[in-house]
Amino acid sequence: MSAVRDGARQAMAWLHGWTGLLLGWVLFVMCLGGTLSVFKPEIGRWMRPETIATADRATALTAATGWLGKNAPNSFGWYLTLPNDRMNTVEATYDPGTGFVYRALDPVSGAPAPRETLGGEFFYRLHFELQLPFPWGRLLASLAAMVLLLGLITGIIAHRRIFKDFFTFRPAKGQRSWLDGHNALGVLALPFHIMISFTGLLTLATINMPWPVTANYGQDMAAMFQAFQPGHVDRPAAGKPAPLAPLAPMLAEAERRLGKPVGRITVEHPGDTAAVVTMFRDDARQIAYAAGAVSFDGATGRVLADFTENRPALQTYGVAYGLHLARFAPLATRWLYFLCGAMLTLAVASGMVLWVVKRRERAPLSLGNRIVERLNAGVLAGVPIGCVAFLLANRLLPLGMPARAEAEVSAALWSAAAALLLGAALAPKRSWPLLMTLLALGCAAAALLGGAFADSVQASVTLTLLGAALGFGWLGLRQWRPRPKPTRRRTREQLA
Amino acid sequence: MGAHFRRGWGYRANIATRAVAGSLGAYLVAACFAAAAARTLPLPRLDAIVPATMLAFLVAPVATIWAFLAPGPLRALGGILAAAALLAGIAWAAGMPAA
Repeated sequence: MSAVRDGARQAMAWLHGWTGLLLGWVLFVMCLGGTLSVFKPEIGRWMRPETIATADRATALTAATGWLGKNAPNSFGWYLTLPNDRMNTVEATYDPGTGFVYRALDPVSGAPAPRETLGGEFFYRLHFELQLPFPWGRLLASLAAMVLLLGLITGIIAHRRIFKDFFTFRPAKGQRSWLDGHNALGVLALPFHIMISFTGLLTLATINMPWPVTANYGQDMAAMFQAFQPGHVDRPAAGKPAPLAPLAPMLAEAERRLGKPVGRITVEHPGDTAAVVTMFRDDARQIAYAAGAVSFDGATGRVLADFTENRPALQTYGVAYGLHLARFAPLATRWLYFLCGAMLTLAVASGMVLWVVKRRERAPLSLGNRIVERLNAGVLAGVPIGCVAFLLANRLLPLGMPARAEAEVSAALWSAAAALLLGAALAPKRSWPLLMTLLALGCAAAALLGGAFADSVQASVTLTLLGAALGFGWLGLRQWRPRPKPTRRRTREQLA
Repeated sequence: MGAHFRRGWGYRANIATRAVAGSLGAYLVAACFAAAAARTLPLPRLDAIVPATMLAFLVAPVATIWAFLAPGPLRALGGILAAAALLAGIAWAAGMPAA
């Protein structure tokens, strides 16, 4: 019986290792992007230090839609998030005639912030779209999320002593230390890891598990969406122009009906007689995402639909979705999300390193594993380097530059690519300390050159960057020293 | 599945079969389960989608794990396909696809 159990455990360890190896680097990008996205609005504020005006929701909405009416009148829709206590700008996605863009609009003037940037939205999109075109990024993210959930379950089964490992760390012992670290990072925040991978899969369910919808609605997606969001009216444009009615009275009416502040607003077919304005309850007021909405006829301001979610199954979905987005979370909870996310990111990274360390201590590495070893240095150090390059580009690129926001993203991708090349070209014992030092210098430069201290939010981002610089610098310095020889070398013959 | 397995073609075929059963096969089982659950759960047709989807996300990893624990690779593949066929049959009998 015990032999069977050991066999099963070994099979699970094998499955854990191989599935992790296949999707590990993708998961690393997703976990890092997701962790940074916890502070998406705060990062956005740090990246727009000139834009510090504040305004109430009605003023900001009127300013934003006034500017959009002049500059993006033919957009299919305007998708807005109103300012709140975390973000002073109106976040807007709209089509100025050249395809949809994302910009932060000044709450007083309504115009895009002079320092044109995606801000935290870059990390948010990276987290589940991986800079790949629709739908491939989301499909790859779904696959990786499934592997993460599988990895957590197989990791638990493969594990002999969950409770004991909770308290075990044996530093500076090669494979043993990496294993202890990997286990501790996985086990300490295990409930979070399971929650975040499960709810993450759910956020992409329309693309990775559409079969229940097909089973119950066939091809009739319109009926499904109508039942799913009864507060949102979907209708085609009439093709006849009509100015948009004032939005401030609609906002007041929506907040009266919802009983809570409005967070997100969509304006579809602006400037058309069939324009629809939909106002969603603020996601920060309850755990659930999209808990209620009111739709207005855009041309007259008349209420078309009004809905607060109270169906238990759909509420469950909203809460699971909201738990993943963490928009409900007050400051302390957000830091907990950040911490747990960082632990998951490090668990993935240490798992990737462990794959190599484990094999290196037994026998000389095969060609495949030498490639893994070099890709590890390039990806695990290179992706954070890309993230920091994004922040540095934000401070270094000139303000009026055309396509500035896109240039910041290019800076991130090219830096990550350069790091990947360095990792491939140099021996790991040289590339790791070099890349870690570059990462530390990048964090320090971003904090010192671009340090913004106008308010506690900007100061926190700057201080976090300084802390990261110290941490990575310490790691880099340690790695410059020669690695001590492993105490015991086992060969394949001894194992067999 | 460590060093005690012989690393010959038999081993590779074993792993390849289980990998197909545990990836595509496991997804197929989860998808058929999701469709069958959506059709049969005693809930309004929109509401039923939510538990069907959530449970499917748990069925998938369980099916993958089973594909690697089953006594032999052919039994793993056969078991996965049989489960998918059974669930697809339930979904079909319950009226999928919706008109």
